[in-house]
Amino acid sequence: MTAPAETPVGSRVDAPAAPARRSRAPLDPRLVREVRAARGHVLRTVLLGLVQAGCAITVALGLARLGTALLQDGTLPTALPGTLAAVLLALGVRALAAGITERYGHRSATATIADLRLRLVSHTAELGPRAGAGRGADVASLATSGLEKLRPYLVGYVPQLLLAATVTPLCLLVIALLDPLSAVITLVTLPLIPLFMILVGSLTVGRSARLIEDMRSLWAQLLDLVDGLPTLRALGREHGPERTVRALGDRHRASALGSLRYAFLSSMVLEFLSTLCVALVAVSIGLRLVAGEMELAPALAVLVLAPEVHLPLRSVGARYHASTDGLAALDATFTVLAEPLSSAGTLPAPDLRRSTLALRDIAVASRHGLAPDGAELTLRPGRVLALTGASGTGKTTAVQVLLGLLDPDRGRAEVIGPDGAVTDVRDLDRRSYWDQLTLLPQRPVLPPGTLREVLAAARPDAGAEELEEAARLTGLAPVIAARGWDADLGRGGRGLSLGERQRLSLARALLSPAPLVVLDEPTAHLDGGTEQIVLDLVDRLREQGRTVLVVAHRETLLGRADDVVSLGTEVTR
Amino acid sequence: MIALRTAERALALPRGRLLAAVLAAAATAGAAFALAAVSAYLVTRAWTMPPVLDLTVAVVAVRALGVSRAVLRWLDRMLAHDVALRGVVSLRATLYTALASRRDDALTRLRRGDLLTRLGDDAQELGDHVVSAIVPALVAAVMAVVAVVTIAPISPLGAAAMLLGQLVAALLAPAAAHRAARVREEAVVEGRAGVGTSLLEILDDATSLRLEGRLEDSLTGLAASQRRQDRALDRAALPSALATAAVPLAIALTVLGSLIAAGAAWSAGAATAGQIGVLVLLPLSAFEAATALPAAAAQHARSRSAAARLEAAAGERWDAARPEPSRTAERAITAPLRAQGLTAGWSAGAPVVRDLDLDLPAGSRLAVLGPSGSGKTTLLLTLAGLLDPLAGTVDAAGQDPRQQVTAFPEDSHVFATTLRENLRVVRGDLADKEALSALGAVGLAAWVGTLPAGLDTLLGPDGTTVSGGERRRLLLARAVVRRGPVLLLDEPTEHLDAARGDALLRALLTPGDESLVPATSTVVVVTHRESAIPPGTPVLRIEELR
Repeated sequence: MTAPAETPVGSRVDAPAAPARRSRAPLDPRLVREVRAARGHVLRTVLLGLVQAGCAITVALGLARLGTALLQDGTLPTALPGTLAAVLLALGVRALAAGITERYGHRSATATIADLRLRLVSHTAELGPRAGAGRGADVASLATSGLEKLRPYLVGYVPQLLLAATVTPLCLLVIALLDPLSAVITLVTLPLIPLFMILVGSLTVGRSARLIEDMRSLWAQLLDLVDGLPTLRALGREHGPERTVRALGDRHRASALGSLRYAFLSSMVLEFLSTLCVALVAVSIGLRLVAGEMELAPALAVLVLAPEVHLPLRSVGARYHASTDGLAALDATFTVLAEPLSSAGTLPAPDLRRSTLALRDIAVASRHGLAPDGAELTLRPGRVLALTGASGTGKTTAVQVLLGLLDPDRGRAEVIGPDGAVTDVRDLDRRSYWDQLTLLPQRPVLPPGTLREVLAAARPDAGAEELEEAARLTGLAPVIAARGWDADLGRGGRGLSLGERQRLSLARALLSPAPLVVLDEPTAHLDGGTEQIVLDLVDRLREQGRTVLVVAHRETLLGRADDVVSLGTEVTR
Repeated sequence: MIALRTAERALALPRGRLLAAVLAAAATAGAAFALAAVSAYLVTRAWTMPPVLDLTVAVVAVRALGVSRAVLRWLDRMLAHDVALRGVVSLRATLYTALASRRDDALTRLRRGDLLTRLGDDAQELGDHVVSAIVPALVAAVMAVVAVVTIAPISPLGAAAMLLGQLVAALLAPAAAHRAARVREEAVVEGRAGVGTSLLEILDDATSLRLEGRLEDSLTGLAASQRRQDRALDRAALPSALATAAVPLAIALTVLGSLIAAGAAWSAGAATAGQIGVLVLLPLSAFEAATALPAAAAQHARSRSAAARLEAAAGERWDAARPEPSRTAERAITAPLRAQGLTAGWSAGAPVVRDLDLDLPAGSRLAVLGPSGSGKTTLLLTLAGLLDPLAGTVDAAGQDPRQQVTAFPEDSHVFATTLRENLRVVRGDLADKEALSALGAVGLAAWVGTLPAGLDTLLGPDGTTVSGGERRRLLLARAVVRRGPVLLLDEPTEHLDAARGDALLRALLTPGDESLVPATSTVVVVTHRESAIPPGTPVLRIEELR
């Protein structure tokens, strides 16, 4: 059979190559263990691999028989219809098996990617705000484009790997039965392949690491220039840099070729050993035939089978990049999935209308040390508490701890019920706790629907007047006047500007019956003029006897609070 | 297809090098093919027990081919990647030129990420086009001819079978693979809108969704759009499978034909034993080059999409773009800025400014006020000639505004180069003394003092990081060193503490105040600090215009 389509080693021809990978098993055991579609894929591929091996052997033996019969006895291939049919059938089945592997391989890859993506998203969402600390954006790119790298891995690499585990040994076994000497030649060259690969790898690793670093830096400079093109144009200086683009490109090309020069050495070794092995086998058989030490039939069969032994190994080598990318994506996914979820409590939350919330010496590790570090606050029912502090002191994080969204590294968040019973927030049944509060995050989050639906979702039993009242108080009325109650806001309120979304969220907070209202920097996206709306809203909430926790910077807002807690050293008041 | 042709011309592949790459790759495939042919000949010829000397040539040839293929492989890869990388360099430079010289607002309309994707990923995709599509397709064509020509002298019937097999492999496999790639790409584009969007929403808003108990619903929604995408993707699997099976099928056909031809040739006494061996065994090794065709077809489909995206960004026939001399032409010292019946916005359906008449005499100042999201920045870009007006006209001293107006948008880029070069980007002949005084004027003197190498300090990700406030002042310093006739500044004092920011704003807006900009410059400042605007300054309120 012919060599497989070889994807070029440097298939992304000038992207900076990935750094040297950690050594991993070529087939991640967690994948087979935990993803049903992947398990089925592996099993099916092994079976089809065995079928393909059987076909390759049938073709070799059949062709040898037909050739020998023709040359020795002058029997035409058509006079041996059984053998001829067997050869053709085997070739047909082999085509079919390859097609089925591909067909269902794609389906399994699709299912595996979908399965892992849903698990990853759901787990990350459950992990809370610090999911995969320090690589928040990475999870998004892993779940979108990262997991897609599993397709070439599962459809391209894994089947070849499993063919190497089935076709290679079976063909070798048949060769050994037909002609032990050829088997010995093949066996000697086989282990040389990984040996030489490692040798070439270790010889070139330092060299290519330097070249890759060089490429990376040139690439960064090039992208910087591209990124700045709109700025250059605004300044009227957009002409001229194209010379730099070309010069940087040329230097990048030189570096890339320098690194490819070594990268291609390993494929050269692979190619060298496998072709050399076939050549040695052919010469050895030929010389023994001349001497009359061998029959024609086994000679022909061995000649057909010899390349089959190396074929899957060469394909595996050619798909090396698909494997590293795929395995890296898998490893990252399973690492996130292995992060334990915060414990789900079972105690029902007390009535927040009459409970006090408190943070005791809370510290949470962040990239820049502890933030917050030793936060203390007590939020009594019916009071307005402003949480302030310089940026980076962990105000939002402290709120997340208080709401049971995030486990602190030190200290504890407590709910003190009307009866004086103190409960750790972590032991609460979160649903019963969260149903009693409403949070307005820095970037407002809205459900899909029309203006009326989105607003009414905050309190389904609210009457039309209540909705209009809330809209009027939060400056939403002009928006409604302009667009109408039935304007569809699309997903996440995309039909509105950020300021309008903020007002809609404020109206929702006002409408919601929740006894605790948490506002995280409610004035962030509003202009000075509309700041008044927030101030009025806070007063209104206080009148309604609700408890308000507001994260705030501005003096005016701090002035409306009953209590002010400042995080960090900077004391505002 | 036209888009791909344009992109291929922009690659400007050097013909000699491309030919060398194709020849080397054909020689690699040829080495394997010849090895199979010669060893088949060797074995069957040896069976007739000729004098050993008769076999010497074949034995040596087999050994030589066994060794040479690996070297040829290395060489062909190097040559193919070299020509591809050269192509990418040329394409990227041409693309940069084409984007820079567009007269309309296409560049302004391109999102930042899109620009990087066009010049980064799409340019690379066309590099891959050379390595994975152009070269393999040419090699497959060469090798098909070689295979047919090798068999033809032995048996015309065998050659006919080989030709048929090669045609099946060369037509069926790529056609099916191309179809699969198109279907898959459509599904992926669709999925990006469905799966990608809801996935990012869930990850971004996880906290709120959990608190409000909407997480389950959102995950169900994600699973549903994932299932839709999966069904779309599954439609690509069948053509994909057909593409994989096509080459083995072609082999089966050829084997059948060759066996019959071998039988006929042998019984007619028209062929030697060695030739029969070649005829029977060669079909198995004659399709190596063809196996690369499905991948080449898939690459072709990807290249087409990339080329279409490039055309959308850079315009038709962008490959013809040539660098033009920089617009450092003499500028006026001062110029009036005029807008008549100006309607501005990103799309005709949603204008942010309607029917605006503006007449700014040379050297005057204007503050633009308005709530966030009201379109202040859009107006600024339109006045600078960076965004085409939806209706009406803008001119500076009767000329295209781009000749006279310099805009300093809020999201201006700080280049990963020295502080000096980041200012010189505005004026190439800037002296250090002037640079330092401009930095001082915007309140960066102390910051410059802390920099390890002063004006030579590298900024950006690999150098000294610049905070939001410092960045803002740096952009203001650019405006200061510009000394142009018309300057448009977008929120120049955002992220600065109130006292310092307001003082800078006053200096910009007071006519005749030369501490930041020359008195002769016409200055428009977008801001939301109404309280800091000096009394008597003309103010344009955006919301009122709606």
